[in-house]
Amino acid sequence: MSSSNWEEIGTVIGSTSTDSYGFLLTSLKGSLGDIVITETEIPATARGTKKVFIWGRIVSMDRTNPTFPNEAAAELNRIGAIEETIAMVGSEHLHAEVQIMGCTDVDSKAEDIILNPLSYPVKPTSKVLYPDAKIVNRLLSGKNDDDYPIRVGTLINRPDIEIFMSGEALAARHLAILAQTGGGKTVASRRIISGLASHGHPIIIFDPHGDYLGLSKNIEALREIAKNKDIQVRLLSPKLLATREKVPGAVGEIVTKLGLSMTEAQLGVFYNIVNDAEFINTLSPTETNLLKHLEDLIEHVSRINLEGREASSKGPILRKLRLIQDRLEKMEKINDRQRSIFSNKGLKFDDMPDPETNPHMLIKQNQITILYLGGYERVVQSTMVSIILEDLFNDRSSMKDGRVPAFSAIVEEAHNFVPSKSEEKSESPSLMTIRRLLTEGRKFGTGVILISQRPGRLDETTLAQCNTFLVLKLVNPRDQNWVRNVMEQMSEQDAKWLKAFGKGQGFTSGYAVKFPLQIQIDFDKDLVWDEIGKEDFIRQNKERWQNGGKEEAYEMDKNEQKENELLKKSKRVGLK
Amino acid sequence: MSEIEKKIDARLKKPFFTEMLTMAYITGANHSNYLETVKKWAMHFREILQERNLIKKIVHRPKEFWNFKGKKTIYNIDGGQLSLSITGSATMGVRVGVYKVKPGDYSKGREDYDDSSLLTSNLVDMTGDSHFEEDDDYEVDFKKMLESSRMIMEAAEVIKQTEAKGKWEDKPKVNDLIFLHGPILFEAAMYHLTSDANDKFPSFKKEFCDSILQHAPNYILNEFKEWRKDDDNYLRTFIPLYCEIANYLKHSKIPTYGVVERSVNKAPGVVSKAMIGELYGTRARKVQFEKRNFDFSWNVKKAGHAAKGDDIEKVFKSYVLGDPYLFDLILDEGEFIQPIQVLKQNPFKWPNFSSNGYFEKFFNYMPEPYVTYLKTSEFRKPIRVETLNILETFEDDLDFVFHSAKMLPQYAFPLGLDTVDKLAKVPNWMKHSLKNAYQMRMLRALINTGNKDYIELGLKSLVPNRNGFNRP
Ligand SMILES: Nc1ncnc2c1ncn2[C@@H]1O[C@H](COP(=O)(O)OP(=O)(O)OP(=O)(O)O)[C@@H](O)[C@H]1O
Ligand SMILES: [Mg+2]
Repeated sequence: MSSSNWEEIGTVIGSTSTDSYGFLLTSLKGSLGDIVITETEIPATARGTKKVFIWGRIVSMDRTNPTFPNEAAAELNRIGAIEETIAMVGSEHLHAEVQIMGCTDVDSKAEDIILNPLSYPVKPTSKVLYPDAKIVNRLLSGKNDDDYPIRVGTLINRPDIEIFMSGEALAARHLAILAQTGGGKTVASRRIISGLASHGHPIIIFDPHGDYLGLSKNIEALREIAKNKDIQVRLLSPKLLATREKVPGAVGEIVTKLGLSMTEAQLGVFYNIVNDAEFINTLSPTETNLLKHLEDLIEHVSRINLEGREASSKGPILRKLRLIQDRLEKMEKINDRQRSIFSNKGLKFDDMPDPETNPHMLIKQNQITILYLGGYERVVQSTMVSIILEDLFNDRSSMKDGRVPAFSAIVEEAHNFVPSKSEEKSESPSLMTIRRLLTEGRKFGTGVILISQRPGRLDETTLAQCNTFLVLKLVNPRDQNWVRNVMEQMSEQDAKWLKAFGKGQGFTSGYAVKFPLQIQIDFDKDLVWDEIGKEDFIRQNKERWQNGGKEEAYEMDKNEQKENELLKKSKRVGLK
Repeated sequence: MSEIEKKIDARLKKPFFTEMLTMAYITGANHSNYLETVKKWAMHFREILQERNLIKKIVHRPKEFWNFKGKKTIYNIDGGQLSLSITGSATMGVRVGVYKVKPGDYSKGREDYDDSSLLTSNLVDMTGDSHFEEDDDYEVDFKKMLESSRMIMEAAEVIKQTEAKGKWEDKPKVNDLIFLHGPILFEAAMYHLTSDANDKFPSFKKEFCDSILQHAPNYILNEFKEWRKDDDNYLRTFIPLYCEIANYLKHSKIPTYGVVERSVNKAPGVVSKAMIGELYGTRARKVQFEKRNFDFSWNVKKAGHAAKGDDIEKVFKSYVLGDPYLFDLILDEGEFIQPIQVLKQNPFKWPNFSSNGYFEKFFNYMPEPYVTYLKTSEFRKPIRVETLNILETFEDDLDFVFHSAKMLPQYAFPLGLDTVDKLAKVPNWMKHSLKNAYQMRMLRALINTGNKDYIELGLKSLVPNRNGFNRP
């Protein structure tokens, strides 16, 4: 490895340490996130010294003109250009802070360089060099063909340096993608999905907003990008499922979680009823739709004869069950309606198979399964996710022959599924399930990807199990602090940049990447399905207005007048 | 109440006047109506000066003023010093920086910085018998030596630039300007080492003398060289060198000014004394004209008798009313007084005359500066501007000083000098903080020279460990 063709971009100044140093830039090369090298002599293990290359990345930069005091600004306004005055224009300088990543031996071969921790500070006055892309790629990209690498993007400001995540690491461990809304989470997660899919890895996505449904529409593009012709995308319409044995638990859960508070006495009576074996036996053994079971339950309660003090609970219990039934039906209807919008655009939804009895329909090699949760209240979404993941995990961890293959689960809006304690009055049903997946997933190959725009609202214990992070733009200070606390490898300077990141720019660190780095995520435009994502309501309104909406409105106005008059008349007539 | 009276009232309420008031009390004067009296004196002198047209007024007109189109070059000079080791060898560092700028020039060449005048070594010639011994006076002398080196290098920088012997090839022209941060001339006796009673003055190394005197012909030294051929050690001491430089400045056709931001409050001040001398024809003033070869008089009608002048001086003394305070009250923003020649070199402090009248001769050759006070801001004490040669451009030059100071509305000191001050401050080399702007500026300048030795030297100075610094 030779430094001879690396451009000199600055000189180390000030005091240095084994973690960081500062340098003065003398050329316009080098910007935030860039990788730089300095050459320094350090004590060798044997007697004497050896020369090493010290690798680091620029974590902050500042630019000052020390000879131009702020107070001169007022007068300058009156004069116009600074050049007209006696002020110094060119005394500006750029100072950069570098976080040290490690060092390599000067004479190690480019093919097998490895970074060792630095044990001796950088020498002030050392030259700072700008290494060529080839060597940086070799060292940083994290591309290891044995690990099924996934290209996620490039080094920020260096499109010539590719960054990979290890597919194996993502399959066995867990990733958190955190960013404020619009920061590029979904784009990043689609990139990782296509990466996992390129290796045929099964994926299940819990999609509250339909952000991923387009993948089925863009299946050809996805196959192209992933270079895997066998990829299938399967969309599922959700259903609250419960075999009759699970009815007591599921109904009980929903009753409490939907916030329909019952008195202690009512609850007692209610539990007695649903847990009564006789009642359970009346339920159909083949029915898995919880709503159907609920119908039967209501029927059962209305027929039941309660005695003594319990009798007074019957009415309220019945009312509450009907309320729940009402609400669940309404949610289902909304989901139906929304799905039909997608169906009209050519998407095809299948009924959700029972994950307990049919897990293979959900998890299959080369298949991306997307469960569209739109329309359902949070608690119900959480219950659904909990049921599915639990069943899948149980199947997977049963270790029996014919269990489902290892898979990755993607949870969007993760703060709704693994909320922190302070956010929820009672625990989300999915919290414990997902936590379990994260703690034990490594053994069974159930990798989880959590995606959230409010990291501060995520359950900390769960997030602590994520060992790879991708943090994109975050402006909220509470979220920033929170992220810094959880991510050990994020330096103060890195944290400062969170708010300044552009779309798709972020910081990644952890198990699946080789080094903590600032990254620009690849944007697969072909995977975007803008027939739903686009927020163009004004255009939609206009279109509708032109395609008959105008005439319709005109006619409605006309009719209204007419009808009002008629009504008046009718009243008079009717009153007689 | 007149406008100016109101202003004076306001100025008397400023903190530094309160301080002065306290001082006046401490010194024992029981002035029951101190502020009122001071105000009256100020107004009185303002009136006298105005009647004689001795107060000039500059109008602040930034947009119109800053219109040089790159045709005027300004040289701003300042030095910094640093002593590195007190024991052992007398190692010291002095750096003089020059910030050259052409307002209105938009090209890359509009500005540049020259800090090639760098001295980091043992200045004292140890080979002769006239070097320092390490004794009790050593430290005092060392500091003086350091300071004297800086004084002389700063002044000599004017020669260097005027003769284009620095970084740049073009010589300054008569419509250019040279500014020095600080007095144009110091009291030479202060920096001439006299701790050794035996008339043995340490001399500068020959190379040093050669490096600072970049001009020909020599104004004074040639004459003396003939006179003391046998022993040129004397010629390499502070006074002869300084005297030579001062004479160069006096004869230079390039407008050159020293600008002083804070003057000591000696009461009465040298300018006040000179002013009273001119206005009242005091005896002291007459003596100055005779003995110090003064060549510049206001030539105005007298304001009173000589005895009255003496009385006024006494009042100023007991009121601790020095130049900066008095002229702060007298002058309005944008005003300066007609420059006046003042006495800087005090005969009683001049080194003893025992070596055959040797130094006395230099005393006679030492020029005395012309000084004015310019009020650059209503809220700041006036700044002092000194020169050794009043040229036709004097009022335009003061206009330039004023507008450069207006660039810094609070500091009210010329921005060009403020800039070079920041660039040349030597003690900042050693600051550990890597954010230190001056370090970076210096290093950049050094790197830009492409000269390996300079860069090495500069880099060394940035190393936190000061032991490695520029050992000779
Ligand atoms: N890597 C990227 N490169 C270029 N543009 C990007 C990138 N990532 C995101 N964008 C742009 O930002 C838009 C929003 O991205 P995305 O939908 O991924 O954000 P999000 O964080 O998922 O937002 P939300 O919280 O609303 O779901 C994209 O449509 C795209 O235009
Ligand atoms: Mg999104």
